[in-house]
Amino acid sequence: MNAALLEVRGLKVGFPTPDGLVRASDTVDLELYHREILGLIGETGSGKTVLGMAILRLLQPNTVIEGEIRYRGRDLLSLPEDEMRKVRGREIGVVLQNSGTSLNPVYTVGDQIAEAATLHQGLKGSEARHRAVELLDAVRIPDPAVMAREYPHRFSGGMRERALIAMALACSPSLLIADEPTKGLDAVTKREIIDLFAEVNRDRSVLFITHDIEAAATLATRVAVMYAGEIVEIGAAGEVLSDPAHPYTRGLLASLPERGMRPIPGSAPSLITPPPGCRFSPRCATKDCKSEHPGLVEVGPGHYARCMLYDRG
Amino acid sequence: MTGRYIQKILVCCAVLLLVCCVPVTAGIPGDTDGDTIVSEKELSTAILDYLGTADRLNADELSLAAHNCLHLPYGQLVVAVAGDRYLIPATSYIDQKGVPADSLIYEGLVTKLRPKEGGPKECLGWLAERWECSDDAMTWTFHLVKDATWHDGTPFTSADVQFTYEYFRDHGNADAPEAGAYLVNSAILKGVASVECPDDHTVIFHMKSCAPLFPETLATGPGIAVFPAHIWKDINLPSTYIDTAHIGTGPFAYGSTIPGTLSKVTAYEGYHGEKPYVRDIVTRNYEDEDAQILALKRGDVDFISGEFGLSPRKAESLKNAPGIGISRIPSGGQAFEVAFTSDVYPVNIPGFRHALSHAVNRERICWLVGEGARPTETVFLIPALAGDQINPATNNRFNYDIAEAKRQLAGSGFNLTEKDGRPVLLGPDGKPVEITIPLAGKASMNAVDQKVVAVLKEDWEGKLGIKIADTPQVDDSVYLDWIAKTAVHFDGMPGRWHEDIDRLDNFQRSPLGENFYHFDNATFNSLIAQLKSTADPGKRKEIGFQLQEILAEEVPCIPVFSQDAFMAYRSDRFVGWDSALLGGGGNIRLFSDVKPASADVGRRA
Amino acid sequence: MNGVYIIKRLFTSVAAFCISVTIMFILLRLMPGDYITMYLETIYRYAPPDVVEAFNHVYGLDRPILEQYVLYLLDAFRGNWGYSLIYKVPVLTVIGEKLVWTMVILVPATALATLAGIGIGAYSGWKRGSKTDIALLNGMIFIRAIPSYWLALMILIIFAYYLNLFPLGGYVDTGALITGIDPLDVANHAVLPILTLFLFSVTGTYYLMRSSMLMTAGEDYIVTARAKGLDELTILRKHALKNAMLPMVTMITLECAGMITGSIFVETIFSWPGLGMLTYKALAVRDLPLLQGILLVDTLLVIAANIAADLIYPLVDPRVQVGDNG
Repeated sequence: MNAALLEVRGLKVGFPTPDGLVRASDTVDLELYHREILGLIGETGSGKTVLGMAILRLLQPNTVIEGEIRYRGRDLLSLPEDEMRKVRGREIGVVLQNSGTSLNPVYTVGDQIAEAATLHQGLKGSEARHRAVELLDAVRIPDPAVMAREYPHRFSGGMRERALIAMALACSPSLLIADEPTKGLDAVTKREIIDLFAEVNRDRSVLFITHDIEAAATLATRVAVMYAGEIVEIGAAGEVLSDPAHPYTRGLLASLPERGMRPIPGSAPSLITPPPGCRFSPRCATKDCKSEHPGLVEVGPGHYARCMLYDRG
Repeated sequence: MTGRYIQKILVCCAVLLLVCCVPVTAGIPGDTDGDTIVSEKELSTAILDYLGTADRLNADELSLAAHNCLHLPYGQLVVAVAGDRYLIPATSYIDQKGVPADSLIYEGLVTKLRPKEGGPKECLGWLAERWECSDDAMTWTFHLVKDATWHDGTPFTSADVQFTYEYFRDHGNADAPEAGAYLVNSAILKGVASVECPDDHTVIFHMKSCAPLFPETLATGPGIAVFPAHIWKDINLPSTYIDTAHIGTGPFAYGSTIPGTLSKVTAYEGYHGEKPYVRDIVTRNYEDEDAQILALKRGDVDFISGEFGLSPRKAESLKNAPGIGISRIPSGGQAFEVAFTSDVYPVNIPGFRHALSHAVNRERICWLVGEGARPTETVFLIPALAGDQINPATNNRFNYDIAEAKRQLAGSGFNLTEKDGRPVLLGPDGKPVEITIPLAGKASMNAVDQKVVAVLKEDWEGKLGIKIADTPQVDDSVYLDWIAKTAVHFDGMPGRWHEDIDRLDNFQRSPLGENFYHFDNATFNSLIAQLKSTADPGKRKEIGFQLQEILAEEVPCIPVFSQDAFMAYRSDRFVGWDSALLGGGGNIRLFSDVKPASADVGRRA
Repeated sequence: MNGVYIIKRLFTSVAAFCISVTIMFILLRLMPGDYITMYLETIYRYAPPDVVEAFNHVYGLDRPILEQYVLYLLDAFRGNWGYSLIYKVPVLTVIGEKLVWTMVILVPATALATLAGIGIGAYSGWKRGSKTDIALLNGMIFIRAIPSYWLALMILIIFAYYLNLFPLGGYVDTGALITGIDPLDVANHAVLPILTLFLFSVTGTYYLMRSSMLMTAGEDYIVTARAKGLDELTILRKHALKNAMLPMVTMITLECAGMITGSIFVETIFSWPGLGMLTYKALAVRDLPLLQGILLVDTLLVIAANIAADLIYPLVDPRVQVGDNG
């Protein structure tokens, strides 16, 4: 395997609150290789989005971040802010969740896309606008020249998603972080967006954050499963989703409608005082592991799981 | 940054200090004997000195001395007024403006003078030289000054007086053609039946009823000014006429105006009376009294008087300021009284009112109120204003004597007991006596009312056991309703309610209805009626004495104190401020006697 | 859409005018005390009934209240607002004269306060929790907490009296009596009133802008802008400011209308002959025609400000369109 494009090592992210530190991400290790789509799945609140935002350092200033995030060998966490700004948009693009509110309502979509092109590629007014139309066309917005002059509130949900993707692609970044891009879309639109990502992936890596396992299955090369701020299973998409090693992944799959829709009993634990031992143990049907905290253990080639079933060390 | 400001402040302080050290010029240059007149001899000496080596006066000062010697108007006097209604407006509002009391341009027939303490009340002739009335006071004859001219040169005649009366008459009835044509002050002349002019310098007013005080009525604020027939004869709608010339007969002629802030008048050369020493008088509007004081201290203005005289506290603060003098007008401010609503329990019992009349500690109240408060020892009229009209037998009838108050209460069926170590007064009905004293906005200046109530409480509650239940602060507009239902209230009234026996009609149950005090005494009512139809001053005074005796017996109110009014001026620039004063600012007499004493005022624009 | 909208807007404006005029009419007549009685009582202590009657007849105050109301409404529309009782000249003349002077200090003060309030408020909200923000916020709270009258007086005493930098009141110097009104002289006199008005008004704008900016700063599109690699200043200036300004449009336009009669302290302390002082005087002596006139002008200004806000909104917020029934 070649060198990883993005390498996350021991990443800890905490939000200080009056009740204590919320450990949204706890000792996460992750690699993302060239031209790969890594699907990051998990329930709401498992720390997926925080991980994505932490990579671009878009979290609130008072957030406590520890560990390393290496992009092309550079540690993003220790970059000065103005260097980091050059990474954002140009090297790593991001499609935020909530496409409905992620576009500025008082500027035209074209302007907002052109803004990124102007910023990183030094394009002038008309060139930038031209580029914006091109990008809108590329993400298959009909009538792109006209739509570029429209305001976000005139766009449908799917079109806004596409516009955001176009914006993220404006400077041809090598890595695209997409946070829940299929959320709230109807089946047909969702399919189109997934196709679009497949196409986007031809030139770049994608960190595809989703709770939509189906979309991850279609798109991802590898899949990482997060639970309570930790990665509990990671491996090739086919393997993880067809033969899950971790009881949580199994539970997730079992809760899918087409597999019987059996939800996992209980609810996600507090991230301020996580349960001792295995964090999933209060909800785990397989094994009661309250005393020991399992590490990630290779259960197959390139397939790791964080479970006492496998951790014998 | 801060350093610079501190530096600036220090410089200001230093300058102030220097100003303090420079000796203040308090006398007119050249006036060596201090009689405020530069005699020819004094002027000649000054000129010779100037030409010679002694060089005692400079050119500007010499010019001032010469103006004074020849009685030529010199320099500019800046007067601060409170409110733009004291400025000369661009449009002529003959209704409330251009009247004797506050205009230097127009004159009435007469103006009032303050009486000397214990002396007779007087009017001062203005456009009238002398005046007399028939024995029944039904006819008033005014002999006019002979040499008066309007500021445009037209001679002033009796026809102008007649015209003024007719103009008010025609614009004062309910048939006035338009709202803007109605002059409210026509009410002042409504007692006049007709006016005739036997010659150019005699006017005879025929009255509808006996009017012994007619000249005073003509001069009572705002009063009636005579205005020129030759200008106003064709003007039917006074409110739409823009008068740009303001032609009057007064010592000063209209100069110019900047609306809302400044106006200027200039000495009129052809004035029929004593010509002024000051050339220009600029009136400058400061709505706020504190701003006025600052302006005087800084030297922007030369005279301030507040709206109704400076408040004592502020006058006090100016006392030691360099180059500033203070005039004190005895009882020129408000007069305060504890008043009863005579038909409300418990003050409907005369003994109770009597008792309280001995339970007002004036000394202590005046001490609390501070500078400028003087106790009123009479039953209603104030000595400084009413002069010899006060019945000396009624003086000190309401003296402070708690023992006497207790005797009076006991004699009227009240029972002073004690409960928990505190005195409690039980009424004839056996219940504790409790009263409410509403406070009006009028008396709230300097919290006078709070102080008075505090003193009353000490005596009434602490010694006589009368519980003062509540002292609500009520708005002026509903004050009358309040006092109609509460037994006791405390009030401040302008001094002029206390200046004449005629004002005793305050206590008459008038044809208009109830009076403030709900006081109803048959003898009193008929005496007032008698007074109104009596012209002879001697007889009037006699009736007045009887009326005051009734007040002393019946106690519808207890006068407490009157407030002196203050005015402040630049003593380093002008002299001669202590002439007869009417009270209030902008008085025509005052500025006629003021003389420039500093060449600075001649250099002003 | 526009024609219909304008007609609709015009209709609602006229309706609003009629309603406020009616409320005004009722309220003013519910007020205790009346001009003629109060005036006459200063001369006679008791108002002679015949004079009161004559006065009421001439001014039409003895007519049935309904007739007065209809006449008043008709006259209000015809622009015949009657004569001021104290000034004895047409109400509009008096108001016009004072309005000019009010504008001279009000327009610069409001403009400066709005600009500064928005600028400082936006910065403060953007840097929420920082030392600068805390300092600014506390400073504004301090200014707000000072009683207006006292603040105005202190400004007068310090800047005009002790530092001797400005005149003590009025709008021109004595020299104007000879030379006429000099704009520079007026400007010199206007500095302190403007400064005081500015301080009165800047805090409100600041608070609103700050809280508006606090909300905007948390919006997703701000994160989007940051993710694009824009620097903070550009994000603040371009993406946050315009959105945070939206709620300010209504506030600013209404404040402009509201401040007309709201500057009485400033006008008193600085002897500035404006509309606030006039309102106070008219109220004190119950000069009904003048009061009605002032309130009518105020009503018209508020209505105009509302229309202005409605017309400005679509220009700054593309989501809002004139004529939308939203």
